Amino acid sequence: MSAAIRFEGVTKRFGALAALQDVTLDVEDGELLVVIGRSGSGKTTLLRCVNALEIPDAGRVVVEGQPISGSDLIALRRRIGYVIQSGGLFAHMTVEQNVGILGRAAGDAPARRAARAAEVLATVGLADFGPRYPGELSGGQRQRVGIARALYADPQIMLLDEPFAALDPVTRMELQDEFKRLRRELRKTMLFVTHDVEEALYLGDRIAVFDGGSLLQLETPAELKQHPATDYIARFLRRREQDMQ
Amino acid sequence: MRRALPAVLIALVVLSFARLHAAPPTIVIASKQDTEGQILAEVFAQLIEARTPYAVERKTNLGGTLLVFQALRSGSVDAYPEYTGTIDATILHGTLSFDGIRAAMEQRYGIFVSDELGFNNTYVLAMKAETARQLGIRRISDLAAHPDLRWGVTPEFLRRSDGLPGLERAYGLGTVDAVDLEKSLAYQALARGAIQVTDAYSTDGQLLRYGFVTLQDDRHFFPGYRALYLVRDGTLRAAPDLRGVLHALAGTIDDRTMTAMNARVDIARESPDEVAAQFLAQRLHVTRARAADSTFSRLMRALLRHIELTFVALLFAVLFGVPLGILAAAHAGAGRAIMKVVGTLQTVPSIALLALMIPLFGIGVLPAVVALVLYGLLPIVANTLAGLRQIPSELLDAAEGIGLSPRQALAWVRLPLALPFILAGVRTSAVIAVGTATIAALIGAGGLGDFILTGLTLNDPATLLLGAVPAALLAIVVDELVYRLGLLVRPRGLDRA
Repeated sequence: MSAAIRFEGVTKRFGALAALQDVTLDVEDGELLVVIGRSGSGKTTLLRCVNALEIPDAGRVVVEGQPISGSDLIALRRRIGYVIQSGGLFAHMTVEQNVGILGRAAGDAPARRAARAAEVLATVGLADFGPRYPGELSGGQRQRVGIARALYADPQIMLLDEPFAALDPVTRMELQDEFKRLRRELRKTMLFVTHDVEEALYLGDRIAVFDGGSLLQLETPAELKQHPATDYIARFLRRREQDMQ
Repeated sequence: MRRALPAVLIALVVLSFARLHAAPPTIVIASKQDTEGQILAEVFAQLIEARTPYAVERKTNLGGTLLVFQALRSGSVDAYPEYTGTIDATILHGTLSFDGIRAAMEQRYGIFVSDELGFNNTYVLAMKAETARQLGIRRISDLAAHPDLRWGVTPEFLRRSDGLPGLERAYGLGTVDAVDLEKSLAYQALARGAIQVTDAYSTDGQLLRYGFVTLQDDRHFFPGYRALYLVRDGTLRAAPDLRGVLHALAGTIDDRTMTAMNARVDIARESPDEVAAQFLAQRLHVTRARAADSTFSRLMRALLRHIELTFVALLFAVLFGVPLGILAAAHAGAGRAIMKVVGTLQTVPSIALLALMIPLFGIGVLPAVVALVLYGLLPIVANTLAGLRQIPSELLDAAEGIGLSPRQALAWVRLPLALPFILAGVRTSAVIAVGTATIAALIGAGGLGDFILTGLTLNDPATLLLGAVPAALLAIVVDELVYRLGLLVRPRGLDRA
């Protein structure tokens, strides 16, 4: 397996605050790597370094063998699906226009855009929602549209920044299940940021635990349960064990 | 439709420019805002219409000596009535004889000074006839024996060297007991006996109304303000028949005639137009070549011009304001500078801004539109900036992160999301434009302001309301119209979020 995304000694500062400190990490081709940590751990900054929304102060990020610093950033971003919390939908556009916006940017004919939008909307279970506006959708539906938009150009890599964090628990579980099914069908490389340990254990092929801008542990879910190296994970696991008893 | 929009906008811009420059070649006769100036402009204009083949355009509400003289120099105006004293003091800054003034104006400015019309509209001192008779005062020098009299004078007269200070020295009056009063208040105070002496202009129609007497300037202290016409040399070359008209008017209006004509306008509420026509009929046996326009048709013309000014100004304010707002949002430094400049423009008094426009654009519609655009910028720039700034940062991240170019993000995401704010700014700007367009009359652009200024000058509430009421109604209609237009343009999804 080759690395789809490679972080090499990446450091990023915001003023005096070090968001990332010398992070080296490979995301393997086709795996779903969950990055977990509390607020301010640097997990979102790490993800934003991949589509160049943040530029590292030191080190470099390599995507599919190409260092991103020298490449065309807009072309790079169009090859990477990007999903954010609450969907990040544009309120003035219909669902179909939101999903097809990259087709519009690429100059696709309207008929082709509509067909592809219908296709990806069906994939996320919203086949008839094209003409609606985001304001008319539930939180879960908006999140599905956000995922559909990221799938439009059939990217090999997807970045998901706490996609389910704003949803109620039941809707969140529904979407997690569906996401797991979707992932089996699509086999894409995914970098998935969350602060929810349960979600990380449920979805991740591997889990990277971040704290204070550093990578503390990188394990499979099973290994992580056995040897939690951080208080954050350990405390969560203890609590869950108590609940079960 | 979407592709047609830029073409329509360009066509509107081109058409509005074409409109601005499509004035027919005519003699433009101007005056300042005073009653006397308007009568004298009408006298000249009507005699031209009766005795020459030239057409005449009137611009009889221009805002002050410097403004109208600038307009004459720049060629936006061909002729206007002026006074020797004003030319000497305000334009040439000298103390010249009539021949000296004529030579200097010719040499320095290429402007022909006509022969004098006859009357002298200078400062005089006025008293109640009864008081003057009781105290035996006929001449200014008689006042030296009455230091107990209370004077009420205009603030200007109180301070000017050719006003009270000079008068006190020339006649040995010592320091008189003087308060400063606005002119119409001073007349009322004099009539009621609260003051005994006031300054006035010798041909002021109000003197007849109150029956005040004027005191003889026996030491010839006050400079002469003898009326005449200033005409551009170039105009005289192009329209040589004007010389005959000027010659026919020389020496025809004495003090008594001018005072009576002023009184008919100021007190009897006749229009300068009718008064001038009657004068020409009696004195020069001229019958009017052209019937005066009805008030209704003048009002309609003013209303159309007002709408045109407002609309063209608003169009340009949007064309400049939105890009400036975008620029301001893009760079914090540029944003502060732009907001400062646009905000400062808003504070420049309109008359000063208009005066600054004349050397650049002359008088008429063009400088008025430029001034209106400058006044209309602030709400549009500020709202564009606010609209762009209120967009949640995660949406900006989403647009950038999924791979939209900055231009696509602006056109497809940022501007549509800012549109409700921008439209609110356009609405504010439209209402400001309707209101501000009333001052365009000061610079000869016409519009409803012509009625308002005339009403103010002649102290005639009916004429004032004839301008003010349609202007207010127009503001309401424009506000509603822009609001409804906004509903059409507003992205649908924004109402549902």
